[in-house]
Amino acid sequence: MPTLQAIIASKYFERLRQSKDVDAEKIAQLEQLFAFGKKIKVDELVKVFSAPAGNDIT
Amino acid sequence: MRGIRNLDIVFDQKTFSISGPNGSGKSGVIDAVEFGLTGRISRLTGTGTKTLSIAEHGPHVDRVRFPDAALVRLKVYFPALNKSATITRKVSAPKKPKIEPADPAIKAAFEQLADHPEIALSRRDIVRFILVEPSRRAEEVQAILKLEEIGEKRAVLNSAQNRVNAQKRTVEAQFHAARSSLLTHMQIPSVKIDDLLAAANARRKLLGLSPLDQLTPDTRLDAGLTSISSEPAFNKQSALRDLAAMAETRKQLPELAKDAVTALLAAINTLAEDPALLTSLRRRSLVEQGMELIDGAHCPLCDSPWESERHLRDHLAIKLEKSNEAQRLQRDLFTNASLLDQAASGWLSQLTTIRRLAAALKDEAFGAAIDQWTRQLAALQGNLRSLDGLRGISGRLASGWHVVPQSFDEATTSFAKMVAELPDQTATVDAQTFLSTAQMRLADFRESVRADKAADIAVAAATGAYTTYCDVMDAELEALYDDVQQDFSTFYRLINEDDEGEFTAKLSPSAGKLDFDVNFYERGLYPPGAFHSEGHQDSMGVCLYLALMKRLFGNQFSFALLDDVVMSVDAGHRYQFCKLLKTHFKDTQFVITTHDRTWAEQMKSAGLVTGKTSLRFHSWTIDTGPLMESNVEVWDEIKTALDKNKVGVAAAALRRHLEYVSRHMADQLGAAVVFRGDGGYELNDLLPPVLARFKTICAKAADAAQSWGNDKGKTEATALKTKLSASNAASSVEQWAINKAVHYNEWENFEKRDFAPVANAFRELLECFRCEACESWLFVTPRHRPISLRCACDTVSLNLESKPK
Repeated sequence: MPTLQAIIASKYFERLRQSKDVDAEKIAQLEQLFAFGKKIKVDELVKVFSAPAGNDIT
Repeated sequence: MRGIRNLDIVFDQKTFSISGPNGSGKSGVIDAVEFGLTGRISRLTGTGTKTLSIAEHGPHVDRVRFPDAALVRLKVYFPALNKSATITRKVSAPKKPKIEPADPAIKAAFEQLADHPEIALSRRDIVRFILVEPSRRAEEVQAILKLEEIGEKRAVLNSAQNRVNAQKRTVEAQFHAARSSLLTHMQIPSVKIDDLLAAANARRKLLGLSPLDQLTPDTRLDAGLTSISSEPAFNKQSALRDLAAMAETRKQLPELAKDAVTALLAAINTLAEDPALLTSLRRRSLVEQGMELIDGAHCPLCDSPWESERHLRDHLAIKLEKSNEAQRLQRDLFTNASLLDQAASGWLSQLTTIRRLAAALKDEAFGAAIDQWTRQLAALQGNLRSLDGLRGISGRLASGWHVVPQSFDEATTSFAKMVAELPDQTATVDAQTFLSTAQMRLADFRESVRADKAADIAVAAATGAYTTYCDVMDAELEALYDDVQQDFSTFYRLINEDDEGEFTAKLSPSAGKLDFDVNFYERGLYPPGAFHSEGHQDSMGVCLYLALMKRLFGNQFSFALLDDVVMSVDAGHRYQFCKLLKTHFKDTQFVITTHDRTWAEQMKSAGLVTGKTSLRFHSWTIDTGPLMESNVEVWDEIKTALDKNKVGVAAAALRRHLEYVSRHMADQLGAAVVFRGDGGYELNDLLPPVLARFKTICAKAADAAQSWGNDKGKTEATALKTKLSASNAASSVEQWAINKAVHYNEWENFEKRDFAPVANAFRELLECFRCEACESWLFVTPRHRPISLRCACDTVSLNLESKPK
C-alpha cells in the first residue's frame, strides 16, 4: 500500500501537469527533487521556478 | 534512572495499571518504558523543557554523573513475529540499545517502535490536540501521523514562493527606476511605443535621419548616427532633468520603508533585551543550516557519528520545536528586511543613472561620492540578509538607512552647477546625445522589463506549485481526517453514550492549519474548549489520540503508555472508557497510570486489568524510589533491614505491607470495615474486621460442609480456622486495643530480637489468606452474598451454603 506521502506526490504532479503556470520542464525538475529522497532546499526550488527572460515591451 | 533506583515489573503482555499518589513514581515507570523503547523521554522535551536533557536529567538524581549506570531493560514480545527479545538502553548511549537476540526482524521491529515516540501519551499531550491553535494542532497531528515530510514539502514550497516574491519586488523596484529614468529623459508621460517613437523621431528629423515607424526588439533609437562616440553620451537638458528627479526622490527617502525600519528596530531591540531568545534564534539558524546539510548518519556541524540519519534529524527537529517564538521573530525580521531591501534597490538604480552622468563629465569627486553611497547601500543590503548583519546595523537603521555620505551633497551641488554652467548644446549635438542616451535607457528599460516578466513567470510558477500542493495535500488529509474524525466520534460516543449519544466532530485542514470543532449537545459545532467540561475535553484528547494511532498503526497498534490521561473523567464514564479499550483495542497492551485509587479499582472491576496486572505504589523516597503496596519481596526486605539492625525500616515495611493486604482482603472477603469519608483507613481500621470476617467465613464453611456430609470440606475449613486461631499475630491484633506494648505503632521501638518474631508471626498469619498452590489471595464470591470461598486456581473452593433443612 503506497504511503500517504507517495499518494500526495503522485496526485500533485498530475494536477501540476494540467496547470498553465508551471511548464513541463519545471515539472520535470520538481519531480526529480521530490524523487531524490532528501529534504528539498529552498534554493533548489527557487532555481527551478526562476525562468529565462520574458517578452519585450508591446 | 529518573526517580527509580531499581525496579522490576512483569507486565505479562496484558493491559496493566499503575496507581499511587502524586509523586509516588508512576510517571517514572512510563519514562523508563518510553526510554527503553524509543530512547526518548517525552517529559524532557517540548515546551518549557529547554534546559532539560536525557543525558543530564535521565539518571537518578544521586547518580547524575553515572549515565552509564542508568539503564532500562525490557523484555518485549512481538505478536506479529511471535518472538521475544530483550532491549537494554543506557542513558549514556540512548541511540545505541543492545538488542538480544540480534535478529534482523526484531531489530527492525524495535527501530519501528523507536520511530514512534507517540506511543506515550500524557495529560499535557492531550492539550496538544484539543486546546491549541489550529496551526499548532496541524503540526502535532501531522507529527503523530508521521506527516512531517508532507508538512516540510509544503513549508519549503511556501518559503520558495516567498523568496521568489521578494525577488520579484526587488526586480519591480529596479523596473520602476529604469522606467522613470527613461520617461524623464524622453519627456513622455508613459512608455507607449508611439510616444517613444515620436520623441525619438523629432530628434532624428533634426539630424536628417529616417524616421522609425515601429519599435521591435532590434530597433535602435539612435540607428544611423554616424559619429557614435566611445565616450558616454551626455545630454545637458536630460542631465538637468535627472538631477531634479534625483533631488525629488532624495526628499522622499526618509518615508520609504519607514514602517519596516521601525519594526526592524523593535525586533532587534527585543533580541538585545532577551539574550535567551537571541541564543535560541542563533541556535535555530545553526540547526536549520545543519538540517539542510545532513547527508548520512554524521552530524554536519560537529561530525559526531549517530546511529542513523533519522535519529540525527529527529534530534535536530526537537531542538527546532523548542524555538517557536524565535522563529516568529525571525520571520518578522526578514519580512521587514525584504521591504527595506526593495526600497534600497530602487534608489540604487537611480544612483546608477546619475553615476553615468558623472562619468560622462569626468567628475571624479561626484563619481566617488556616488560610489561611496552605492557601496554603503550594497553593504546595508548584505546585512539585511542575516541575523548578525541585522543586529550590526541597528545604529545605521536608527539614524536612517538612507543616511547621506558626507561628501555627497557637496559633490552633487558642484556637479549640478557644472552641468548648469555648460554651454547649451547645439541642436545637432543635443539631438545626437538625446538619441544615444535614449537608446541606452531604452536598453536598460527593456532589460528590466524582461527581468520583471521573468519574475512574474517565476512568481506564477512558485505560487501555482505551492497552492497546488496545498490543494492536493488538503484533499488527501481531509480524507484521512474523515477517517480519524469518524473513529474519534465513535470512540467519544461510546464513552459518553448516556448524554452525548449523537455526538459528532469535524476536523478541517487548510493551508497548514487544522480546525477542530465538536458538537455540543446538538446545538452546533464549537471548539472543544468552548463549552465542554474539562472531563469531556480529557476524553476527547484520548479519543483523538486513539483514532490517530489507529490510523497510523492500523492492526499493528500493539502498545501504548497512558500517563494519568483520564483524571478529569467522572466515574460513570470511566467504565465506558474501559469498555472502549476492551472492545476496540483488544489487541493493544496499554500501561495506564493514575493517582486515583477509585479509578484503579474501576479498571479492575471493569475487567480491563486484574490483580496480577495492576500495581499500586504506596509512596516514594529518594533512596528507595517507588514503594509498592504489594511487594512480594517484602519479607526479604524486612530480613535485610533486620540483618543491618534497622528495625525502623523493617517495621515500616511490615506495616505498609499489612496495610496493603488488609485493604485488599477487606475487599476480597467483604469485611465490615467502619466507613471513613476520607478513605484514610489505617491498619487498625482494617485488619481486625478482616480477621473477624475470615473466622466467620471459615466457621460458615465448616458448618456448610457438615450439613452436606462433606468430611473433606469440613476438615479443610476447620484446619483453616484452627490455623488462624493459633496465630500469634492474630492474638496480637486482638490485643491492640488493650495492650499498647504490642501495638504496631511501637514496632519501630522494638529491639531486633523482639521484632523478628513479630514479623514471622504476621508472615504466617498472612499465609492463612493465600492458596498454598497458586499463592493467590482468597476471595468470596459473589461478594455481597457469598456462597463460596475460593482461590484463583480453585485448589481452595469451600462451599458456604448449608444444606436446606
